[in-house]
Amino acid sequence: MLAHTKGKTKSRLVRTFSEHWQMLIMALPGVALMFMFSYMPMFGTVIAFKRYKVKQGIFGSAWMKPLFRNFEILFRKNSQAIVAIRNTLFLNFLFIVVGVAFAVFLALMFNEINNRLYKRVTQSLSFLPYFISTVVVGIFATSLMGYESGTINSVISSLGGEKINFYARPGMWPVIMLIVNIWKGAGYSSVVYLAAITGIDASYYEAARIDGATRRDEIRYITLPLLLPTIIVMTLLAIGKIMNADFGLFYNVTADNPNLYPTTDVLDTYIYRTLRQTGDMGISSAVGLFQSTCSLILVLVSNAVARRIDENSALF
Amino acid sequence: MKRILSLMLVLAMLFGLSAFCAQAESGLDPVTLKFIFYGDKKSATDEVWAAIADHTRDQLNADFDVQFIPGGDYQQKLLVMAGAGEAWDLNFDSNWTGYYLMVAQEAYMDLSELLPEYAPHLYATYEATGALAAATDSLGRVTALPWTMTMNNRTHFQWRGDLAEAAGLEIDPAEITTTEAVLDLCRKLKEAYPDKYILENADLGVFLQKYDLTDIGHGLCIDLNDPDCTVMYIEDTDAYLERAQMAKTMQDEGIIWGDVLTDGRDHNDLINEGMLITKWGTHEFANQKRAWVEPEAYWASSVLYPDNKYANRTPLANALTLPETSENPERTLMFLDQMETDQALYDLVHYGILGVTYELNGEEAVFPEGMNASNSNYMEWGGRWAMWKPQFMRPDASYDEGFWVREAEFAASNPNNVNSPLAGFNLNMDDINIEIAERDQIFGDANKLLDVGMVDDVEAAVKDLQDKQIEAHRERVLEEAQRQIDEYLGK
Amino acid sequence: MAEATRYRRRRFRINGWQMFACLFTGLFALVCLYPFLLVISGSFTPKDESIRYGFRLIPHGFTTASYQALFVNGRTIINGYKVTVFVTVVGTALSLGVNSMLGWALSRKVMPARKFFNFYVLFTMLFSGGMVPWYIVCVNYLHLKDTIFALLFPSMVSAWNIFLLRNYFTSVPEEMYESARIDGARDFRIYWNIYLPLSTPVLATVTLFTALGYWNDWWLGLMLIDKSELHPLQLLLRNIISNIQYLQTMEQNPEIQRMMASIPGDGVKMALVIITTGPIILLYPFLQRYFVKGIMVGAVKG
Repeated sequence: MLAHTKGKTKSRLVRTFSEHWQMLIMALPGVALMFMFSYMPMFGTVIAFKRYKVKQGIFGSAWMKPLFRNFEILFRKNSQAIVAIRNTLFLNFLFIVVGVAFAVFLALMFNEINNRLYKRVTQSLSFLPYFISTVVVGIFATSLMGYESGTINSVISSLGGEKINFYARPGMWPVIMLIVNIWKGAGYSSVVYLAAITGIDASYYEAARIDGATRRDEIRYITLPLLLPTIIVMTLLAIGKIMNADFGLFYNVTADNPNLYPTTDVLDTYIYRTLRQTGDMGISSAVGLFQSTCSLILVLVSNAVARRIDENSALF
Repeated sequence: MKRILSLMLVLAMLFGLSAFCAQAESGLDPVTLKFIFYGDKKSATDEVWAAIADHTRDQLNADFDVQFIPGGDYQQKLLVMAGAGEAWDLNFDSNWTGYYLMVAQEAYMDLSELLPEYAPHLYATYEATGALAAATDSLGRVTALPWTMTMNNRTHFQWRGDLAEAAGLEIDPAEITTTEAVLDLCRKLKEAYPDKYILENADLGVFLQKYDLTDIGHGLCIDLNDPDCTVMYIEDTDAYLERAQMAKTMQDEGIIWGDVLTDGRDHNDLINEGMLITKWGTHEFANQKRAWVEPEAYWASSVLYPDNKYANRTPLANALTLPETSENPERTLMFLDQMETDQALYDLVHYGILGVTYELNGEEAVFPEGMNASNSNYMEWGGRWAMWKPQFMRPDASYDEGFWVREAEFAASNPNNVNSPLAGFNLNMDDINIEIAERDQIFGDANKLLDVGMVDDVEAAVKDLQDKQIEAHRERVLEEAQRQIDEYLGK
Repeated sequence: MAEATRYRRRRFRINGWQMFACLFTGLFALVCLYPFLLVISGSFTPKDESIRYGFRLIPHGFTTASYQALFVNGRTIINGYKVTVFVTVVGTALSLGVNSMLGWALSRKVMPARKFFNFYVLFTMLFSGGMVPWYIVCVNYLHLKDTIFALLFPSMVSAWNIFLLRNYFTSVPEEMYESARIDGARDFRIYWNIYLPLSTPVLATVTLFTALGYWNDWWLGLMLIDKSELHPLQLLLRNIISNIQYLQTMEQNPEIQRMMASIPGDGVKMALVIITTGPIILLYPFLQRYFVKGIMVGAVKG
């Protein structure tokens, strides 16, 4: 490199540092904490490729022969694992799409209410399901949908109809799980969108109103477009967890009924049943690695798509 | 002058030496022993163990740090702590809390040499009962201290005697010895009490017992009459098919109620309330005191298939183990040894401090005023079962005088109560971890439905199970298990 | 005159749409409320009744036994409350600071190695080393075991919150930053004096989520704390429930059956929900005003 350009590059770096050293200091605690609690433990992913023995430690344990053997459990033909993976992806995709749409819609609805007290009360109440543990949700679900003594079936039979055996018909359950998931999480998610809406400068709406826009126009042309970055970020973050399912939700609401496995068995419940007796750490580590890798690929793809729509919202 | 000085020197040396010897003899370095037990930590635990430390000051000079891990997380947390190389001295473990997993991880210390040296009384008890065999592997390493109780869990059928009487059913327990008889009894009860739940499932163990088979885990079984211990698939046996068929019959006739799988209510509660009126039980539970809601309720019971072989319960049902990382194994063993001979210590450990955590009613240990099992300040702590000593046990709220002696007698009374030849055998899953995990999952999933007869076509369901297992390479599991068993038996 | 007509016209137009919004949110709020009322009544239902008749809105019997089962160790529970309150307050404050600073830094286009740091943060959301390595790091390298820091630091930084904050900060017009820098202000002051006050909605949101996270956490206590003085409230309560649940799945085991006699009914799980929710509900109204302000007729933001 020529002498004078070398000096320029160096001074540009020095300049950036001297101007923005505060920014770097501000970023430091977060970066350091992440290093300690997320990156340092990552050496443990090698367990997925090893025959881990506590006595030998992580690095002393022998490598699996063949190396990817712990992953075999996911890929055997006709294995329940394939069903579980398919269910996880499908159900989470459903949850994300309908969930985001519903949460945004709910936030918009809250925003439309004029009466402050009504708005605050309904918004607070919508948050309550978040607090109800999945175990209690399971108790309610089974008492609602039980065949012999469930509430729904009691009502049906007292009206003279034929009882529905919910727990024997897997076809209904994607919808049931979707409803439960939305009921539980919509209030929580809508807060994020509400906060974003609150941050929209009121002068935009003023200007629109002067031009004669209706409420619906305001939502279509101002609120939603300005909400789009938040929607994109939330969707991308959700895609980051697309291979992971809420174990408690699936295990408790379905009462772990094998009849429902074809449509509700997800990777987390499958692995739970598989490793209940053996507790094999190599296999659980391998499955975790598989989930992470899939999520990474999907996030990279979605992120590239998101960058096309709105450069700023893309995650990186 | 020189003589006096040298005399003083010698005296000083002798004095110093004797002081040193005295120190080495009666004064051990103070240590803190860290114990880990199962379940909730009761409020007076630290107080009691401080009293225990005082009581054993001369012999052990140890303080105790007692921790509890809740049941649902027990296995996992122990594994994680062992994985991090953490040091503690003693923990409860058993075949139902992941003992085999920890052994597979080589997390437990070999006690074969330390045990006879530091716990001679305990060792003698083990020699007498033969319980140590279950904790000894093929290389002679002793990795656990099993409990010294003998019991046999031969299946009993229990039913509400008072309800049977009230319905005018004349039932002779001596005749209820087969599954057909059980089915018949259930039918009668169902007729008499159509609104009650009769039975929760069709127990696999009974059907295996009918053919002298015993379950050795992961869907495999052996014939107790077979000296070669040939391993068989449970799903291929007649026993399995018969049980599935009976479950279906029971489900169709409403003996097993339709919501049994989704019903989240605890079955013990249903029994106490009088809503569920029969149970597959054991000798212990047929005779145990129970919190019945209806005061006249009692269990009638009968032994099933008394002429068939049944394996005694593995002594590893409740055990104590020392981790590899234990820093004071000798002191810990000495503590356990003292439990064999010292009634006062036994009382302290199991019941606590007289007047604070328990009261004496004659010989019986009772809760202090206003307390019961769920809110007691010390009694009924989890993990103590591994330290039960038949010679010191007091009657208490669940078990009256001489209960455990009768249990042991029951176990000894029937010549068909045998020790499993594979008592100490622990399947090493290293080479077949995938196949075993799959097998467990397929077996568990199918079993859950066949257990309660919730299938449309039993033969098809069993065939389906067999096909799935074959596809999951079950033969690898069988071959490996058989190979290891042959090695264990010394062939 | 024209203005009055316009106002009247606007009100009429708003009413139809508003009615629908009120109906929809009201219905949803009811659907959310009803199960919660069931939980409240369930926590007071006697065990006998819950076994025989299940949980009803108005129970026939009434008992506080479920709550007593959870508060059986009164002193320990009070101590647990102290620990949890401390951890929640301190943890939320620190976490908010750490996350918002990093989120703000990432929102600046001039941030050195910005893309790298974005990916650095994202990656932690996707990959994890597993329980044992995490435990080894926390205990053997960071020496957190049995310290109050074990309850604060491992969950302090959150990629999710960082991205939320970053997203909000980027929506603030860039001119604010540039003009402030031209005026000679340094980065931290800009962050503190300009961006934070403008970001109250997202800060309130993240405060809520973070506080909930710390308040509900039992995992850190379970793994890293053996000393009972440092056990947070949720851990103590959860242990009771976890024991019950585990015992219910291990029915056939004789040891479990021996312990079964002392197990309270499902009402305890309900009582746990109420106790968990109770105090944090008090926090909610304070934060709520920051994100339901919304657009009000006649109000104009300056």
